[in-house]
Amino acid sequence: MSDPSTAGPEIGPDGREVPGEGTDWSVDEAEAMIRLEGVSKTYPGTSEPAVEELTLDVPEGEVLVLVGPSGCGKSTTLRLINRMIEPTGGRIFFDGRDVTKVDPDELRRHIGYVIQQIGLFPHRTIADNVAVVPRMLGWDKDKTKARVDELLDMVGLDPSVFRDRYPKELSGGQAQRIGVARALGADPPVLLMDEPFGAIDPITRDRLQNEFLRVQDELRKTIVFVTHDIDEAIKMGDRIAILRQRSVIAQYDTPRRILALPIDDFVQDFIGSGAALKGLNFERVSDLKLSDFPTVRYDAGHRRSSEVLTASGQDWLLVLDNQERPVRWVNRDDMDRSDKPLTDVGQTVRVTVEPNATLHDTLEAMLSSSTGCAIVADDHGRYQGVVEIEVLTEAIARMRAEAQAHYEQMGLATQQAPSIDPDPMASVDGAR
Amino acid sequence: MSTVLESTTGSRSEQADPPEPEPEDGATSDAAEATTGTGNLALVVTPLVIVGLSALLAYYVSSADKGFSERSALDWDTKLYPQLMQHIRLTAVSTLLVLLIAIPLGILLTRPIFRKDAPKAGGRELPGFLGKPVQYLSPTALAFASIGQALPAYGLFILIFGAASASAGYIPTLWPSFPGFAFPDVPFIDFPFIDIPLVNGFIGPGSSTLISPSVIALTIFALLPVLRNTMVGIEQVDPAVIEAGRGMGMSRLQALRRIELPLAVPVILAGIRTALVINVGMATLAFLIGGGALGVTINSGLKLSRDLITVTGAGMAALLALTVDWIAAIIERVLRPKGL
Repeated sequence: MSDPSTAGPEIGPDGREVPGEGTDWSVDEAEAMIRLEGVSKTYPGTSEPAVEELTLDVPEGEVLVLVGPSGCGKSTTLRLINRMIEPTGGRIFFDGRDVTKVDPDELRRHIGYVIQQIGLFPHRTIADNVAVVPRMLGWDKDKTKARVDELLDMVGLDPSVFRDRYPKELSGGQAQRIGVARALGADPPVLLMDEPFGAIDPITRDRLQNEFLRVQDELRKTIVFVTHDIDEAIKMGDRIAILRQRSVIAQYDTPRRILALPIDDFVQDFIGSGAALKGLNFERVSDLKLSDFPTVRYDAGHRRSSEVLTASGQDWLLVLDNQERPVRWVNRDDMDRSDKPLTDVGQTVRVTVEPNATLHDTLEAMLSSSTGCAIVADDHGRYQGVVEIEVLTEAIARMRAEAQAHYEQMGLATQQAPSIDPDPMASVDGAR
Repeated sequence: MSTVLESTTGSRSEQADPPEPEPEDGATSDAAEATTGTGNLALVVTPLVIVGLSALLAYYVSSADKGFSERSALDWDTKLYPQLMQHIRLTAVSTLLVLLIAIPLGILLTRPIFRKDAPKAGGRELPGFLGKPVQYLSPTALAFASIGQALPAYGLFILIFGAASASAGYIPTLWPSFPGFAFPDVPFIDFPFIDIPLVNGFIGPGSSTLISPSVIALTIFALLPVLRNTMVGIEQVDPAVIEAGRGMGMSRLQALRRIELPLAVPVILAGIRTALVINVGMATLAFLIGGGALGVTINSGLKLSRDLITVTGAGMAALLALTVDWIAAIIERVLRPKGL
């Protein structure tokens, strides 16, 4: 922030301090591939800017998701980056080079661009569509052809089948794969994606997202991704910038930290309910301390089992087979009621989770188990321990505390316990 | 057993992995095949129909009882052939002029600075006080072009002729006569309201010059449908396709050449085809202002109350229209981009 007057917390129209606004969210300059510095756009004939003094960094090799409600200027912001819309103020840097005044057509040939409507050229074959940028850059025929085949392979479409087809012969999902392949045509370091999967049915969208993440894992492009769907943002983003009106950054951080600690009511509302639940996707079982649980081997016999159960003070007992794999839950009633071997009484263990499972999966396993805890087993199925609900609650609290500490270090005022607010009106009244 | 099962299900899921099933593709290409199939049929049948009807007309004329006036009016070497050529020339020259004027004009008028949605379409507004008013040029032109077919043909011919006559002698002749194209002039025409001898028009003399008043009238006629279709054709191009092209680094000119024009071609060609057929029809009125062509024969037949003469003239004009339409259909077919 070069202008000191915009630094620090600003005062909102209602006279209250607006947290997040005017905050310097920029990352270390050295790692920023794309850097916007005070970029503004005011359309002619309007007094209100569509994008106001936006300073934003996109670290190299990461996916930054711009997310916000309709009309917040996120698409405009994206189009300012490749100058499809000319900024009326501020500067844009690519890899440290000021590109605010360079020839926009030349600039765009080195930036991949994917839009929601895809925009394949209907009168050109798939191969021609993918080859658009390589040809503009004057690649020779063989290199272009090899590149087209490589890209079609990468997006999972057989080149020999699809090369000579026309776009009208593709389904929506296939068309957007080609859209992505075309954007990657000349191997640009940067990719801009404007709601690329927004018009695709949910099942195909999920598959495309996963494929895209797999490709990105290899390619490590610097990507700016616009969406209005917070779940897509959480899934796709290495970092998320939540934007409010006029493209002002409300919060800019990793999905994990944003979910752990939404910085204000705006972010809180935007994420909606279940932020803590979504945040569980970012922590793994191996990060937790597992609890012990009373176990017996399948051949232990009823009397020995009863003793173990009594000694543990628990209601349930976990029966393991000869390879230490959990097989059954047994309680006292089960043992009293029948003389059958332990493997035939009680309830079958249906779900176990592996140490690298997310806490979200763990919670799922917990809810479907009759005992309210999730069994952790290693990749050979051997019993490792269990996760109880208290441990999950602690994990959530810990993530929040970490985020809180991080923001305090940045000098930001954060809400206290933002997600536990039984009566929001009461706190407003209290503030007055 | 289980491994076999696994491998089969595995391979099945792999096959199914390019997730979107093919049947709909097959269906669409079948449908496309079917439509082009009927298109092909029409292209083959039309010339057969034209040849058949021509033979029928020739037989009808040659076998009919002919008096002096019929023999004189239907003489091939001195009347029908020159008139037919004149008819073709009028149509061809006026259509060529239409293409040269309407298509560039249509392209120009659809540029973003002439459109009200200019800033949103990613275009720049013309700077200065003209910026706003200029944006109304495109919609206005389109509205004007759309009323084209409502122009009264007869009135237009007379207006053009009036202008030509009034300007005779004041404006120098721009085009010399083409000796090779000199046809026997219609010496004096029976003009319905004002009796004016045939004079030099503002561009050239009556029927023997390349750009005659008749050609100008026909050009004005056919200009509007072609202009309109050029504008509509370009405006109907999906803005997302243009945005994708521009977003990949195409310049304005490249986007126009590689995206907008190819995608507008079918609509533009349809406009030209319409214009051609209109012109063949309208050229039968050229005789009104000394333009000659097949209208002369039709008029003679009407004046002399000889049906044979009228039918021959009208039949030849109709057959010419069919032929021109067929040729235009072939051109449309060849120039239409694949994949649309």
